[in-house]
Amino acid sequence: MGHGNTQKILLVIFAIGLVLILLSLGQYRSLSFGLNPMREGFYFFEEVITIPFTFVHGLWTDYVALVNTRQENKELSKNLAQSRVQCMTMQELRSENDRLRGMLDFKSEHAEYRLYPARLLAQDITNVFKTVIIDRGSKNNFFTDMPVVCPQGLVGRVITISPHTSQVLLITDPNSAIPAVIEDTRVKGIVKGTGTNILNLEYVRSTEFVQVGSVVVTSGLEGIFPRGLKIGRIQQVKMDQHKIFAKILVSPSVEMSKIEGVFGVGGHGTDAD
Amino acid sequence: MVRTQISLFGILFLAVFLETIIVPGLWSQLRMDLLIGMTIGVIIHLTFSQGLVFIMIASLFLQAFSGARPGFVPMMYLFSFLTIDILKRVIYLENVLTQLVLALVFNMLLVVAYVISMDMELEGLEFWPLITGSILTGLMSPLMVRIVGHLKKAYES
Repeated sequence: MGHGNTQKILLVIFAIGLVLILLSLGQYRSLSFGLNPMREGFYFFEEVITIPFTFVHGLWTDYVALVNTRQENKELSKNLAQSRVQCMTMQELRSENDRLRGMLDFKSEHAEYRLYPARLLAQDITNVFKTVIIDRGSKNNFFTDMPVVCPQGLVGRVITISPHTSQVLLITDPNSAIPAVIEDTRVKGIVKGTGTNILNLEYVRSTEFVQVGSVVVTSGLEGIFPRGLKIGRIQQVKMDQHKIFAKILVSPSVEMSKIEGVFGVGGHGTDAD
Repeated sequence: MVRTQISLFGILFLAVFLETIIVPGLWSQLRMDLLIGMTIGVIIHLTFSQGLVFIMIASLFLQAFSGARPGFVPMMYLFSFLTIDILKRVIYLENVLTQLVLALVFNMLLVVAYVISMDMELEGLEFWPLITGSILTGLMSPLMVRIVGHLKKAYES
């Protein structure tokens, strides 16, 4: 047996011995102490080896392959902006549709009156007086003192008129006074504008029973406004036994700052266009 | 003179469009007065008679867009015109800051006059739109003065 063979046999014995020793340890966990550094070493080795490959791969995926992304991004941004505009237009159309539907419902509910639709044109130049200009005038069957309403309730009355426009005095104007009645108790009074978004119900005796939340409607006494048009709800009642009349605040049913479409009420008869 | 007046009315028409449609469209309570700036402008750049004629007709035009008692708006602008015309002997109207403060003060005075004339209750009155409107009026007045000045210069040359 030569020297080389002895060496081989010794190596095999060493290997078998090592295997036997390892097998004799039994618990895999106990190897961690010895194997962990090997894994760590392998990890760093792998990291170092793969750095150039990662760099090349990154270069390809982040730069070379994204040549068209900038252009694509621009187009997508443009599409998104267009979609946003379309969405806003749709929302506007939807709210307009709701408004027109409300007006149609109102017309069918008040079929006993001729209702002439009109659109808001301009507002008062001062913020003290509350008037608006609408786009219908004497050529469209509008006339002075014509009541103006919208689906939520009474808006005001026409005070001046031209062939194609009318000036409407809103019920919130300090010059406005409307004969009114509290719907449930039938207590009568005069609703006056204050120049703010609150109305005063005046000439109601302090002895009358008035409840907060009651609906106030037109009484039709003056002859300008038809009976039963909703003016608003009672917001606050101040009764003072030492005063003849109560102080009653009414919140108008129509939010004057948001009116767009209105109707001129043209007396009894069939519907107008 | 006629051409200047016609141009001034063209600008006034745009101003009214801005005051009654655009500005209330942005904030329903907000009002801005551009005629005050034009009043200062005509006092500086036009003769007294030319300015007075313009202010009277312009304020009548504005009256059509207000629920105020007929004649009230022209009266207020006539008062403003005459007062500022007297003030020009005392203060230097050409100064931008003077124009700004003057327009702001006169706008507030007009609002107070409207409120007093209507015997309105101040309870519930929204002050922020009034203050914002007065500040905007003040800020816009030097621009309106310059526009009047440019018109005058354009037709003189």
